[in-house]
Amino acid sequence: MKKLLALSLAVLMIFGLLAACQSPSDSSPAPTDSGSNSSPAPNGGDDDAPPPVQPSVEEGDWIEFTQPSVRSVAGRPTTPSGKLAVGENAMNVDFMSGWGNLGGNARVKELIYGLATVVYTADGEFVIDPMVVKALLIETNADGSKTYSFKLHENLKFSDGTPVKAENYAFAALLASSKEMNDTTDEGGLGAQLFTGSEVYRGALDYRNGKTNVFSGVRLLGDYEFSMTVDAETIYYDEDGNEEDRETNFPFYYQLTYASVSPEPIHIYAPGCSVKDDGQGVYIDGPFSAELLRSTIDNGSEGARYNPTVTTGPYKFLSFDTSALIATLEVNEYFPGDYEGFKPMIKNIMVKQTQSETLVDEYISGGVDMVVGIGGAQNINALLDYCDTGASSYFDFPRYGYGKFTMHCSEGPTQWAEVRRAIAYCMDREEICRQWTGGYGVIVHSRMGMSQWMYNQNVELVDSKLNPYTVNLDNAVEELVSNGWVLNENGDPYESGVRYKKLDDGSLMKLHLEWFAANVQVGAICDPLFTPNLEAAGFSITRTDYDGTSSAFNDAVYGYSEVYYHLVSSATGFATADSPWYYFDPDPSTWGQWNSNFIADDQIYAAVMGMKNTEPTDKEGFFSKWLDFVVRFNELALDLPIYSDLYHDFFIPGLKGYAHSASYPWSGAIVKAWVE
Amino acid sequence: MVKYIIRRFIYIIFVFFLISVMMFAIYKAVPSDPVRMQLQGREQEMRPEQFERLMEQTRRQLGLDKPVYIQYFRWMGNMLRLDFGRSATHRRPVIEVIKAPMANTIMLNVITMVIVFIIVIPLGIRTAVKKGSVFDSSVQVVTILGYSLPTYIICLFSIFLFASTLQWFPVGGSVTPGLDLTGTKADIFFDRVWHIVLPIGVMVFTSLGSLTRYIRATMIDALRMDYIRTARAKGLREKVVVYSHAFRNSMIPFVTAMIGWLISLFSGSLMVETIFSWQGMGRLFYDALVGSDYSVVLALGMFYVLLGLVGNLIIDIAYTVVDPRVRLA
Repeated sequence: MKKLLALSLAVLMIFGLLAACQSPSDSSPAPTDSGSNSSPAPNGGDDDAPPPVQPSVEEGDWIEFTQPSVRSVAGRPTTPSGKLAVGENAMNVDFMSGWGNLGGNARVKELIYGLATVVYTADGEFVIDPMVVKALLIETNADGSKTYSFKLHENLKFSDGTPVKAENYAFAALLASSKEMNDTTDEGGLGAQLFTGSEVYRGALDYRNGKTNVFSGVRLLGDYEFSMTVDAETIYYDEDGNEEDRETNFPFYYQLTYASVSPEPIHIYAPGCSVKDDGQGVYIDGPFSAELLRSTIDNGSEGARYNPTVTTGPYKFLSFDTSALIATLEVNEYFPGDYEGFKPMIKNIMVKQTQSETLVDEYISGGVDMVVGIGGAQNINALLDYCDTGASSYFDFPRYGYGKFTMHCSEGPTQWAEVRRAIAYCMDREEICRQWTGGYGVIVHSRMGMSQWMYNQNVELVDSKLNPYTVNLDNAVEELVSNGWVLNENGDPYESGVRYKKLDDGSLMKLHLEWFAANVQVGAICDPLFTPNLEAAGFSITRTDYDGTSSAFNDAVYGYSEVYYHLVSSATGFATADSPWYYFDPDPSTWGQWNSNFIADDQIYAAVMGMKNTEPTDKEGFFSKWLDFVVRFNELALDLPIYSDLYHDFFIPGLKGYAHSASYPWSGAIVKAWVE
Repeated sequence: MVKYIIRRFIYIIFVFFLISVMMFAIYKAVPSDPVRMQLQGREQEMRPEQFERLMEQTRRQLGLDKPVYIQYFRWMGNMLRLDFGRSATHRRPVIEVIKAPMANTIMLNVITMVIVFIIVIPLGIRTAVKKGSVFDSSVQVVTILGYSLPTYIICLFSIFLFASTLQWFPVGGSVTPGLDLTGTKADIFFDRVWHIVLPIGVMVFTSLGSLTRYIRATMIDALRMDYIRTARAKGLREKVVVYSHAFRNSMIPFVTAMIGWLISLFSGSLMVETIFSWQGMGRLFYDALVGSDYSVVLALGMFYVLLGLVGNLIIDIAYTVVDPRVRLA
């Protein structure tokens, strides 16, 4: 069971990398019809140089990609100008993957890191970035492994003008998997975090564990040519060398992500070192050590994690004001363009920490030029009123996730699906959604987002298969009775008050729920729309509000707290390419940290594994298995979605060509936009 | 005097270590696992077995596998070498994390203190001299507002009035983003002044009440003394009587308040810093507490303990300076 996790980790790494360097697709979202008043995205204008059609990725032969020329779109300037200050409510000094990812830092990282070999499109597809990769060869070897060979374009450069070569891609793999990187700080397992999932590559585990200094799965084949080999299966060993787990790596629906890697500046991180390959794999030649990395990466305020001046994205890092918490970026003149050929045209971007309490006022008073992903009726209405004055524009898009009640299914009454469904029948989700979002949101009925292609291309079909759990106390009681909640505290037939159930050992279990409300405001909205119905059906419930300490939240969500919370009301966002197979492993060791429902259900696990093990070309097959999954998820009532916001980005009217969506990265939208 | 100071230093060392033991005991009693805090957010980046191993590895690295008394001595030893550990939230050495907020807080407090003293000394004296007048009553009413209203209400009201409605000042922050790219040094200076006006205005307003009333009270006491009557009987000008005789003698209790303020230069105001997005010590301390960032909490806690102990010694010494009758023994 655990094999799933291990194999799938590779995708997490890719998502992490992509988060920093995604490029928009050739069908970037047009403004929605729900009222956005921004100008159309550049693609909507007259394009005098549409991007070349790229070949599909198939195995067996070299696939040549044509590097797009720089796009010129009517109305869009040809030289960068202007500046844009973006407000974010959390930020610190770390701008290198591996040391947290607060909102402001994520914005910066999206903009300064790039040149990944694989990008994710708004259509939900992984594609090779033709701006980076000149040619790709995928070969299946006799042992079932696959080798991805790359030829890079020779005009790629870091922000300091240093050429980007194959060595830099190989170094990225070596650095992140290295023991030296792990030992750089005492924060524990850093390298693993930087290149999570690298164990699928041949020889990665031996290299990471220090058994060898050669990473046999990565080969340096020339100045601009390298390869990466993914084993047919990955075998994990414990510290004593005993086999711990074994995971097959193919087929895999997102298997192109195995071919994703971003370059790292070896001349900055490891000066005096170089990547060599004597025919057995790559290794670092030179004075490479944890001490060296401490001086180049983790050195006070000058190390690369605090001051990443040499990067590869559309923007380069100029400074971070630690007293004001403002990161200042400038266009990277060496950035060749995103995979469609767009180069950034806003000269400077500033990302500023802004208190959520005063976010609206700060935007209206001009403290920042843009606020992103605003949800909640109060803020949205205030800012839409401001837009009515003509002083602001906005862009809205459905959230890629939802607010929810998560059911913990391993203990207490919520271990039974009937009880969870009874809870669902007691919850007026429509009203909760209306009150929280003020009409700027919808509810879904399973683990899915409005932006997911599986749903938005098949809305009627999907909805017809899901139970909407419309409020109905009779149904709730029926579910409870069918599950044996027919007694009172004395074991006599239930008439009123709290229900009890007789367990196999003869003891009585009380129908009591412990509810942890992570968002106090949402909890306050839900309570009157939820608790009276529950009590009428025979439940008792205790609500505990989140006190703001991070440990309390983690304890509740991961099940570390002394109290077992049956319900946790919180919110979640899906990964860009949602991969639910991480989250339903029945193995209890995964409960909490991965399996947030603490659920052991073979049917749902089989469905998500089926999704994962689909051939990348079998989109219909993937949809069919996804449908099985969401239907089962709905039947089991594992999460009760209570709202999916219509997020709003607000910005100055001078910002043009901006089009953002949940699956379309903000950095991609910024690269296409300009300031008048 | 020297003997007294030496005795007090020994006392300070003793109390410092006593409090350090208490703080460390409280820290250990908090129901939170520092290893989990250190690795927070990492759970989904690796396999469960790998995460468990990482937990153990980190526990060893942090020395948490050792007996508590060894953990204490290790912590104290590091602290005496000015190694306060790493912040679990910021993932940097605590000393690095504190630098910028400390500078921000000191700047905010120094400016506030100067303005407050410039205002309250003449105001306190004037209200004492004009006791019972309309002016005195008006000042009492205005200053008591700042004294009694919750700080966050004053902050939000000032933002509503001066930032949102009149748009004279920014809502928060300490600089305009991007100004350093295009502005001159003068522009940047005035921009910083523009940003600091509102938070300082609030801090000054909230500080006026207590100090004005304090000075007023001590001045009223001083003006009742026989030597004042004597001075007036000698025909001295009223200004000389008030400022040279009454005010100088009312300074003694005032010194206590002033040194107390000097000590508070290093501690921030949570409300003001939070609402005005000012990166100071108050906000840092609060974030560390709610984020269970105990390296920061312990370091700051011990710093303030030391500051308080040394500050009290300075107050005692200052008494001897302003009042020759006081002898330390």
